[in-house]
Amino acid sequence: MTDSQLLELFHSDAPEKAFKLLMDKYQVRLYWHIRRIVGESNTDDVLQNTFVKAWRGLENFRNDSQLFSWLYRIATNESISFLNKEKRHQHISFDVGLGSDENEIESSAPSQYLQADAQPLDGEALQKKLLLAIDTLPDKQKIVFNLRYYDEMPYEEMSKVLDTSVGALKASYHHAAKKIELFLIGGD
Amino acid sequence: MKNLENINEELKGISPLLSSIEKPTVETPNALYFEQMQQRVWGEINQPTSAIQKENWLDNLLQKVEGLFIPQYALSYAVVLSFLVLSISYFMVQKPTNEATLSSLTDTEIQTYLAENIDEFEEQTLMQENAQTPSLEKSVSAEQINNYLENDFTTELL
Repeated sequence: MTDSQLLELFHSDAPEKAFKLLMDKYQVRLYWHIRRIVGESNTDDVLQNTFVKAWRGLENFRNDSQLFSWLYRIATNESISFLNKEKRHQHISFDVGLGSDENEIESSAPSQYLQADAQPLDGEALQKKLLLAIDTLPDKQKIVFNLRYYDEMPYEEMSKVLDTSVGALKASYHHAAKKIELFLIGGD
Repeated sequence: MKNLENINEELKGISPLLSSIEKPTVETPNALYFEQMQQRVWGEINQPTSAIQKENWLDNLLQKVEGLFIPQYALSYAVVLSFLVLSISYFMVQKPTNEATLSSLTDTEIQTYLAENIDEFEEQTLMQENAQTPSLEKSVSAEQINNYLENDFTTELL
């Protein structure tokens, strides 16, 4: 079902059915978007809050942006609010935020992955280091990188989600990628 | 597809190393997770509005109160509060004690004071304040009055 059809159904006599379809359609993408920002252990609450806010705001959604951009925006704002609240309480989660329990990175210094006489990292180790590297990015830069790298979101859509100019987003992504590269080669 | 190609080309241009790494593949939570999540969402949506508003109001208040106990802010508040308390205490202590008013003085105290400080009073002032003092004849000189006051001064005049 397209977004337009969903909205039409929502404004008709079946808003709950429409919203359930909306959740079914976007819950996985939003789940990963939020998890990459706040970490696995905090995703449940933020995702729940996102959908509750979406329900309350959908009535007034003016269709001037794509529905998924609007949802992403809510999810991003909820995630950032969560992080800010956690920082105030000094309970920042350093969960890497990606992968199943088996693939979760335990907190470890980067030097563990690259020593003076270390063998080149294999694929899995490199991926793990990549996850660590992403996690070291500042919050907003991390969001930009994730949206581009994982969600493959065009800059124009990203601009609506983050309310930032395309140029600034391109610069942010460029810097993020460079930082990650530096981290991977052990020069951070 | 074109978007994806552009993204790959873009990353290759920024960081060939990063573009060569296969994106980590991860497992998405199973359907049960999302089913339960949706139930929680509906549960919150169907909560009575007043309960939600009350909760939000309380949540906001708790958030503000919690802010007072953040160490860096708590110390500042404590310093400011201490300063205020000390300032108030200081000014309370410095406030002059009740001055004695003339009405609270006894006649004996007044007479004793005048007797000890008679030189400081001008004769005309004493005469004007004492209604029982007979009026002086114009022929009486100031020197006579002074002598009278210094030598013949009695408490009856008061």
